[in-house]
Order: sequence, then C-alpha cells, then structure tokens
Amino acid sequence: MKQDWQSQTERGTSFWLRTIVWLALNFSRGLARALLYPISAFFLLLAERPRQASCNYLTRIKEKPTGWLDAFHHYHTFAQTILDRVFVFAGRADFLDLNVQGFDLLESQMDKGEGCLLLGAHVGSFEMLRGLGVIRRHLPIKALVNQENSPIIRTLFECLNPDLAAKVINIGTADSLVGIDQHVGQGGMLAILGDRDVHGGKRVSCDFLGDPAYFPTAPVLLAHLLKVPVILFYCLHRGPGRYEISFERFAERIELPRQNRDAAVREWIKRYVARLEQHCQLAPYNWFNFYDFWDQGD
Amino acid sequence: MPQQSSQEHEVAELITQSLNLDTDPNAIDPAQPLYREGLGLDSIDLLELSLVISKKYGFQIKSDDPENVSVFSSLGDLARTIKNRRTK
Repeated sequence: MKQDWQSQTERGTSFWLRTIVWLALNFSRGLARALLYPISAFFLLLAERPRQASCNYLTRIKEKPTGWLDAFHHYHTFAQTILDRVFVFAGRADFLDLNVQGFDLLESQMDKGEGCLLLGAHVGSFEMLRGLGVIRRHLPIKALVNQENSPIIRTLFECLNPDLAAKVINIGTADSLVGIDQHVGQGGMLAILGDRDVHGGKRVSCDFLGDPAYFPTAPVLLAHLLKVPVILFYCLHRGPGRYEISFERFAERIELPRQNRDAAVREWIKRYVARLEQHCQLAPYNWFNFYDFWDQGD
Repeated sequence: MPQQSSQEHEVAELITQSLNLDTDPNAIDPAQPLYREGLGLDSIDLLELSLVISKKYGFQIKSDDPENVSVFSSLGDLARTIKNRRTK
C-alpha cells in the first residue's frame, strides 16, 4: 500500500504536461494558468484514490467534512506550483512574488563554509525552492530524492534544466550516499524531505493530525552521521505566483547515543512532525502527498 | 559457518560493531550482498560504514569513484578493497 504514490500511473500526465509547458513557454503564462482549471478537474475525476486521500487529509486539517470543491482547490494548488516550477527551471520566473524569511541562516552557513542539512516536506514546492536557490543564489545544494516516483515529471524537468537534474541524488542504490560527507565537508548543502516513508526504508510511527503515520528516520540518521546543523525549510504557495519561503534552525547538531538510539530518533522525528503540522495548518492546501498517508501496512 | 579469511573476519566484526547489528560476524558469507536482500543494509548504513572505514583505514571512498558499487557489493569485495587501499 505504501507504494501507492510510487506505482500510481501518471495517467494523461505526459500529454497534459507537455502541452501546457509548450503553451506556457511559447505563448503566455495566463493561457497556461487558465488551462490548469480543466486539467485539475480532469485529474480529480480520473482517479478515485488520490481524491479520497485529499479529502481525508483536508477533513483532518480543517476538522470538518470536505468535498469536491475542497479537493479541487487542493489539486489546483498543486498544479499551480508545478506550472510555476516550469518557469523557475526555464529561468523565466521574474513574475514571482517571494516573501523570504530566515535566509540569513543559509548565508551564515555559507560564510562559515560549513555544510548543512536542509530538511523539508512535500508541503509547498520543494523543487521550486531548490531551483531558485541554485539558479538565483548559486547555493551548493544537492537533493536526495526517490526517483522511482514520477518518472514523467522528472524527465520533463530534466529536459528543462539539465544542470538542476545533475544535482539530484537518487536514494535507491547501494552507493548513493557514499561520499556525500565530502560534499557537506566542503560547505555543501544537502536537501531532503522528511515526510514520505520510502518503501523498505527505516521508519518510525508518530502521531500526525490525530493518528499515527510512518515517517522515515533517514533525515535524523544523516544529520547524526554528517555532524552538521539541520535547517527546516518550506516554500508555501500563497496565491497566484506568491510564495512564502522560510528557513528555521531545527538543530545545531543531532547526536544520537549508541544505547537507546531508537528512542532518541523518535524524539527528533516528533519535533519534526510538530513543525510539519504547524505548516500544514498555516497553508492547508500545500500538502502534496496524494495517497493514504496514514496507511499502516507495508 | 561460511569460510572467512582473517581480513574478512576483521571487516565483518567492524560492520556488526559499528552498525550495532545483532548478526554474528562469523555468520556473514563473504560472497553475500551487503545491501538490501543479503545482509539487509541500506544506503545510510553504507554511508556510516564508509565513514568508519575511512577513519580506521585512512582512505576515502569518493562519490565519483566508479568502483563504489563493487566496493560494497559483498564482505569479500569490501575486505579486498580495504587491503588494497588502506594507508594505516
């Protein structure tokens, strides 16, 4: 079950995505934006399980029953972030209205030449933030991602910006992390998302919006091994072309004891999840995990 | 019990100790994969192992090393790499 989001076929995605990217980059952003309405409706009608997952999440966060309109708004928010990301990756995102908080944290890491772990979630647009950070600010960011997910979207963005694609590390191979200590040791930043439980990875159960859900332990273990500060980041969609970007110090260091390591890991995950909940409440429609997040199966 | 050379046994002990595994080091087959099915290590375990190895044996395993996959493919391969590249 946990592989749902990995194995969900991206029905119609390729056609729609290519069409809209072509229109957006060759005609106008306005036309592409208008098309996001029928496209969001198309995907809403097409697949039942992501829609149920959306309603389930929204009901929890809003603490009242939600229906089609809410789910549509949820899908449409996601679609907007994908389109904005196209413009970012193509280097044509001057229209963006960005409100950035806490960027000095990254600047001070850069000044010190000390690497760090950037920890986010599938809340808002991680990839847009990465694109902006690398293209505009020349930040030395490498991103750890699970590339089994969304091959069609990935291929498209690889074509749009091969440089950005080259800064992605696929988690799913034996040696994917070997040598990453050298990147971080030279002042490099490593970005990772801490909310999705990757199939077969180490995980812990933690209460999230009222019920237990699995979270990967990878970010906490990595921070411990790499001995660098952990900075939380979010890039929340707040309206057409408007984003709220925030960085906040999560931990100066994460040091795990040899004994009772699991309990210590759990405490850090609980802290991460508490911040995750707060960001979800701040911008409910920015949650981009369209699968049953609370599924307790394998 | 599988046959281990003394070098392989030393590395097997290093693996179980540094990663806090319950596995008996003598029971690790030198030809068995370390990653996933096999000994069941994941990429974070292998990162931890690479850090321990560079500290103990004085050589770095770099990310762009084309031999990395084979370095960690089995206990036997890892022990051979350490033997060839160690500086201490």
